[in-house]
Amino acid sequence: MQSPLHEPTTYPLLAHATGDACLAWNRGRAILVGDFLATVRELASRLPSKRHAINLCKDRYHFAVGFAASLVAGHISLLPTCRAAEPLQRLSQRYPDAYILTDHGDIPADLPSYSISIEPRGTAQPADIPPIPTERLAAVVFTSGSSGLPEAHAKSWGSLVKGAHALCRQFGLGDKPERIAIGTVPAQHMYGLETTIMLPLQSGWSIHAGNPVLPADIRSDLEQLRRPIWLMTTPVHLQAYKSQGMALPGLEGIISATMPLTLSLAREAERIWNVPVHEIYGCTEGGMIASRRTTEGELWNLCHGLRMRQDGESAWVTGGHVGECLQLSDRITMHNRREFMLLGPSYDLVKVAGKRASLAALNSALLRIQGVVDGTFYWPDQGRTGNGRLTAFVVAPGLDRSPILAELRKRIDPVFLPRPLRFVDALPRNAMGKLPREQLDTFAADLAGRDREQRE
Amino acid sequence: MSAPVEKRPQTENGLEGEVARLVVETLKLEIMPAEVDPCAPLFGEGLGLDSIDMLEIALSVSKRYGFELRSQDRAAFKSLRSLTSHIDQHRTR
Repeated sequence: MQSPLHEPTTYPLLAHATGDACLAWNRGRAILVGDFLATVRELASRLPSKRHAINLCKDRYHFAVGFAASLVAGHISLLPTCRAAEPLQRLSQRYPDAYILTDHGDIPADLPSYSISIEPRGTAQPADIPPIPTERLAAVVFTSGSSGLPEAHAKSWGSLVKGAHALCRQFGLGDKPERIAIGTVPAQHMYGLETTIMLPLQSGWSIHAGNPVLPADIRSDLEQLRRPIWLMTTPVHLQAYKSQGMALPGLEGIISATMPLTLSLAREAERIWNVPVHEIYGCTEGGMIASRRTTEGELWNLCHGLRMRQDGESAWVTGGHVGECLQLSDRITMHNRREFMLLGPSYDLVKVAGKRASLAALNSALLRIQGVVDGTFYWPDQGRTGNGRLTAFVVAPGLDRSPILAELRKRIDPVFLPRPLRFVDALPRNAMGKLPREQLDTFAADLAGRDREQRE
Repeated sequence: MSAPVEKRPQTENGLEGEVARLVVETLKLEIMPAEVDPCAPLFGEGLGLDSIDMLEIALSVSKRYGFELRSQDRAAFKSLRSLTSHIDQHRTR
């Protein structure tokens, strides 16, 4: 293992061997490393003399250009996953020296920042790959903090590069250049950044330009690509492709993350597409922590370079790309030094569509709404059954559903909007004013039972 | 439950009501289909749907109407009315 003492002082921006290696695929056309570097330098020379770049680009190639140009200019990329007006406003208040990099128009107009459009241009030239200082702050990614304000997590260039190297080793990809990574998760999400931007940059792969969401987009993109493809996706997307009976030509491997993949979906996926399906367990703070091939067993293999320590149901990891001690937000049981079982999230944490929020923060957003007397979010299945959305129980006499939802929409990411929002007369609070989980489970089950009776 | 909505849209086009039902059922929105404002944006403001919802709607549409939606058909996702007219033009069943 490499000790920090022997760590290089810089890592190159990318690991491609020559300037005419392929860096990205855009609608069947190769974008060469030389073109990419020319575009990056040109953009870097136009960036304002500020310190933070809010990178909102949806197209993955545009994102990579903006990210690399910011790095070269010594600017820090801020990567918010929520594009709602209020969180973006708060972000620019928190970072007054930030500007926005974007390739689309749907930015709230009243942001006190300005937008730069990234237009791929530039011509091939001998690749002079910029070295980036290992200690340079490359990016800030965000999680929902328990106070309701997003918590910022800074990533140094060195930790991102080491994370990409760890990914390579974990899946045995080190000696496989000429692969393409295609993703269905935003590059602003830590998992998307690691697997669809950093992995290609640091292993000589190609980035897939674009932002495919729907099955038809993915299929037509796959048909245009001429190299072995790795699909970086989520259980929600895999389920959709499966139910559509969709062909995924050219795949060499699938990686799934953001929420648990069921064994049956993993088996089906391997059978239909005839490729291994790997699952990553990770978090925004640490990136990839462990992986497993879901069909081969329940245990997770700790990522190369990391060490894990357990105390009760809590666990900490250190070393490698994680660096200093990081407490995991999930409950786990270690089987040996390299393998562990995942028991699920701590009770305050909810995860929907790869986004995380603390129930305390969601509840505080709900309770700040005028006219709401009491209320709580409720996560019926702890995310175990997959697509579960949140329920909210609200005591708000005289208030209608739509103003409550409108207020929530201003304060929280839309994936956490309650479905359903249930009006109730009172919540089952105990003598201490608390809402024990078991009590809420019973309360929810009673309500559901009454609903069924009413329907029958 | 919320009170009955007065400005119930007068759907000449039965398809619009059908698509509203499909959206509400697919996304378990727990509002009445008639409560979906046919002109309000489906994503972002409006109903506040996200890309996972878009995926789910695309799947339901393809099962029910026999054609696939693509991201380039983004205009179709603008509102219930535009989605309805897109379906009307492209449906195979």
